[in-house]
Amino acid sequence: MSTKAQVHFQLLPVELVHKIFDYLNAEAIVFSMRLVCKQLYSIVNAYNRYELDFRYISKSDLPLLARIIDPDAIISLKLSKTEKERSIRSLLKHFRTDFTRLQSLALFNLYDRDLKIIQNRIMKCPLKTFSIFNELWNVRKTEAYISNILLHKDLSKIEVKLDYDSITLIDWPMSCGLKHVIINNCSSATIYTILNHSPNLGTLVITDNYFENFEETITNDKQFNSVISLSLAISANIAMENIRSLLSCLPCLAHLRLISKTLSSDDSLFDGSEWEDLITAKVTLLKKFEFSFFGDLSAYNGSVTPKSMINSFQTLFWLQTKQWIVKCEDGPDNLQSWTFHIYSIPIFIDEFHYPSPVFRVVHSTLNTDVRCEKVTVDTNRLILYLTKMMSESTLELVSTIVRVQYCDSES
Amino acid sequence: MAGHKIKLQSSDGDTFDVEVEIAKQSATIKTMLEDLGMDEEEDVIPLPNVNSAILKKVIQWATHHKDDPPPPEDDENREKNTNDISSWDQDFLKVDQGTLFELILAANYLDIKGLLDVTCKTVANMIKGKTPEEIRRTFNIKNDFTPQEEEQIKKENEWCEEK
Repeated sequence: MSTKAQVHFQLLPVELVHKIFDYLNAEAIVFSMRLVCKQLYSIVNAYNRYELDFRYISKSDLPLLARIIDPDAIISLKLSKTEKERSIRSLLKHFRTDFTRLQSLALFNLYDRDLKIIQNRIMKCPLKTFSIFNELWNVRKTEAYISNILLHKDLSKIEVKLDYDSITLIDWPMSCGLKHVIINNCSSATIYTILNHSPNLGTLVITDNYFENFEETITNDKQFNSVISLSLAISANIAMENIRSLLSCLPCLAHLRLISKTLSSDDSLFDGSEWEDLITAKVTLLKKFEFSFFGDLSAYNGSVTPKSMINSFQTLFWLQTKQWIVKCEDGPDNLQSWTFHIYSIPIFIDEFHYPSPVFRVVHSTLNTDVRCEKVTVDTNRLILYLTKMMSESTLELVSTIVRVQYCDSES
Repeated sequence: MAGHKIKLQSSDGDTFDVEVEIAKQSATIKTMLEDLGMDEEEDVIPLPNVNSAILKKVIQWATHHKDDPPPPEDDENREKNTNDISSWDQDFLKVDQGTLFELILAANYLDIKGLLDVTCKTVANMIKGKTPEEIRRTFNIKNDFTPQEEEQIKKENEWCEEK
């Protein structure tokens, strides 16, 4: 046992108190910690890593926060206009000067006039991450604004969620320093544009609607060795050939995630031997391969059955070399069609229903009683049908443990 | 088979045999081993800023987390989310405040990012949602503002509200 006097909160060095502040919101630091004692008053005044989230700051708190916090002490801003009376101009007017140390900026549902105001106030920032999410209609010049942001030399991560027209109009600078790109509504041609203009790109994520635009011409003979992680939410018209072309230029890929929410038209996507050939030929460093595809059994002229699909994933390559396990579920979607869902486990999916209201039969490459297997799922939304679970005779074999990890930032 | 071990010596003179891979979660120890070539089993690494009780806890934490992926180098992707502390860490950190703060100091000195993050998050959780008076009570802090200073702070706030 230590014989020394116990360490008290006030004996922590300033940098460690600031480290604790890093996990508190600005209101807790300014309205609570600052008023505890003289020492904390001084420590708060010296803090310079504020992250302000305007989505949650009340209108009455804003003037005081803006008065007490030096704009130079703000490193992250999340700006949103959710109330009509709150224009971005009136939000920002509370701050005396521009934000010169801003490293992260996230914008939610702003109009072009707002974007212009913000752009003028952040020109000199050492911006490292930038996010924009716009679900508003008729926002003009968003793409021009993003193109300007891309010119920031320290920018390493960008996350964009816009409509298709805006994404295609973004002007990617000749050589930007981006390491992580997260984007939606993206065609194959746009992906090659991003790859060609981002020599340091490590992670590329298409969160929704990766599609083939057959009117676009793609010419690419380069390889992009910096990319180690690729995640694509693919649309129905993406075929194996498209994926093959893309992977051919990403030889260092270590992680691949392919997710489809709609019925895929190309049955090669469900064929383990096709994937085995592609991976052994083009992406030999691949360590993690996650996929989730849906199909309609009546659409492939009888060439595809759940058993044939599972068989194709039961080779040495899948089960021993890579140790990637695949499951397939099938059932009647309606009176006309019989659909299936084939996926790698643990499954990565936006919304998971358990037990599935559609799929009745489950097949696994492990040839085990799938009813007894542990279900591990990485999902944003979990829907459990408790009545159905209670009525199943196998309930006594099943122990359901739901571990929920909260990912929302504090509000 | 157990891995290669080294000896860590606490401020009160006790020595602890620790597997090198576990000890290397401390960037401070890792640098010592690499820069000073201290890789023999009989070499003793002195840790004058950490007492035995705390060093024992630190080794316990590092042993449990030995297979964790390395934490990201920078804090760019740091989230303010403090609800993601694992149940094992929550149980591990059910200690008195003095021990918790000593763990923070030790994690900082030994440069163990994962332990520093989780201990700071735990203290942040003790602060969240509390008024200044509740924070004083939680950490046994004396309100040393003079009545004049309190009046001054109150005015600051009123000035803003009126504006």
